[in-house]
Amino acid sequence: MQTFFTSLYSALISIFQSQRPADYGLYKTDLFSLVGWSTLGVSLLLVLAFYYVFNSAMRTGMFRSTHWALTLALAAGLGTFLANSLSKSHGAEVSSYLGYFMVVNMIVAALWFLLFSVLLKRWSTYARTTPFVGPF
Amino acid sequence: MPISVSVGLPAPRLFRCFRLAGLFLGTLSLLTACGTEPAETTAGKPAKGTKAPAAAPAATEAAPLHVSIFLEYSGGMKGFVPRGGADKPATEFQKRIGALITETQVSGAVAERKYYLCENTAPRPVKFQEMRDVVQGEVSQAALGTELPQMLEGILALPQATEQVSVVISDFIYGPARKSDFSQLPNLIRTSIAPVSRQQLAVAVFGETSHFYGSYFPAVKTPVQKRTLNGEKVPYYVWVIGPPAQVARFAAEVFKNAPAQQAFFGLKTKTPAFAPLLVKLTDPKLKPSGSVYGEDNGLTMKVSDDPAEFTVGLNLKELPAAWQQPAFLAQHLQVRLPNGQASLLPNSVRPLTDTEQSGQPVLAPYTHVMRLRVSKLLAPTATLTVSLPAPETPDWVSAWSTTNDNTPAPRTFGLDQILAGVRQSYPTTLPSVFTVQLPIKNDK
Repeated sequence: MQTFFTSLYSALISIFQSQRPADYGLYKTDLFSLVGWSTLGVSLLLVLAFYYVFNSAMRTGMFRSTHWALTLALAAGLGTFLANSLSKSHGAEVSSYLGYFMVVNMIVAALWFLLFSVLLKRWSTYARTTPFVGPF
Repeated sequence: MPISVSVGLPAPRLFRCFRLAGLFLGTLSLLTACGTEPAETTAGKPAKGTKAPAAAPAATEAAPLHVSIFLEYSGGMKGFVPRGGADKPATEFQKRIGALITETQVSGAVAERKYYLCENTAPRPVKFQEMRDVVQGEVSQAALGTELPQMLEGILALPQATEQVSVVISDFIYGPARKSDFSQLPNLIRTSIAPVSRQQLAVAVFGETSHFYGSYFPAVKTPVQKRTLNGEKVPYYVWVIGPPAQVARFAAEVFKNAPAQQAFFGLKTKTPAFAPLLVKLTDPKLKPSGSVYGEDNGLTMKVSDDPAEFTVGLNLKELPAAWQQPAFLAQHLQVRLPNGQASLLPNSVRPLTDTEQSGQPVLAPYTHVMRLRVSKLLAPTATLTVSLPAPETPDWVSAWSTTNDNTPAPRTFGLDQILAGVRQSYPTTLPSVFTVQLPIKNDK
């Protein structure tokens, strides 16, 4: 899984910047998998919260696409925040690479959120068609 | 919370959105707490990536030196050590050698010190006080002296002479009694220091001129056998002979205040601490540029688009002071990268200041930094080497040599031939003073 995260993030960041920073070794051994797992977990938790807490266990009426989009934005924001705070707490230096890592992780968090939404929405009581009907 | 399907009015919808945001803000704080927790637990374990790559083994403190000082005390040396007084300044010899024997006596780098006077073939052990008395001119008797090869042979024949540092102080005036010997000066010297050849000991030569008051015995005996000098300057030399790393240490740590004329033969140091410095640098000029990062005790770099430039640190405290000069290092250091192209950037070698070392802890183990550039890398892996090839006999040696020393001058008879004998004790290509290596991986 570490290899997966490393290839995912290096490939995506290299779209913006092909040069690797001096502390790339740290990204490779620690940060990519740590941030990758955390982001995946946070996206999953938000999906579970949206579909099963607020739209199954509780009847909050927050089943609209707007609500879903706001939650997705929250996931994306948390992705940026996680990439920044976890990297810095592990000793990564402030660099343009870290900036692109934050941007990329924002997109990755949104993608995870979309993926889990599509996979899990059909078992939701009130939001099974949010943000769209199907495919299951 | 019974909420009907909202019909139309934007204001309640907006309000509900805020409520939604409020709900999520609550979960946000929970989630961030979860998110940062693993960060703290993993911070405890040693993170592989944060370690400086190729961290050189911590410089273990070298064993203290065993030093023997040999002072030739013949009639020809007496002029260097006049009995002074408040009105007569000490000679350069007295100042320099007085400081050298004192440093040897008190230095923590020296575990054991012995003093000898070379009056004839066998050196005579004396106490420190007696040696000091001789240097300050308190002893009036001087022996007839012995020829240079016999003296050197006698010194190196002492037990453990080849495992310790021998310091020979003499004028190194060699005028063989047998005229035929003049044709064989280099060979005679080389034979007399045979252990240097056999065990590849190092020889460091320091030269200085000093005022001279007394009888001067030239090597060339015509037209006069001896002259009485009254303050003319003539040279004397300090030779340091011993295992290469110990000679280097003696030169760097004990004979710190050495004269400017220096020549080193067969000098080698222990592999100095060496590492590329990539992270935790505050000085932007030291930071790497291009695509290079540390991994598995080496560097991984991609130089197909832009060359990689990075700073390396070296601990050169064991080199003689003259060799620690940036100009000398820039001229002599060699950077090699088989299957690639690497160079030392001009004007990039410099010593580190105390402020830099304390301000940026990654610099603390090193005395010098320099910047390397890798502009081509063809193989998947390569090894970059930085070495200091031993310099050849320096130019001052021929300037200080003469073929006729009957008229005193700051030159020594046949110094070039004597040192040629020393030089011939080593292979045609002198071994490197040190070599350090850095594994490099090509980042594809």
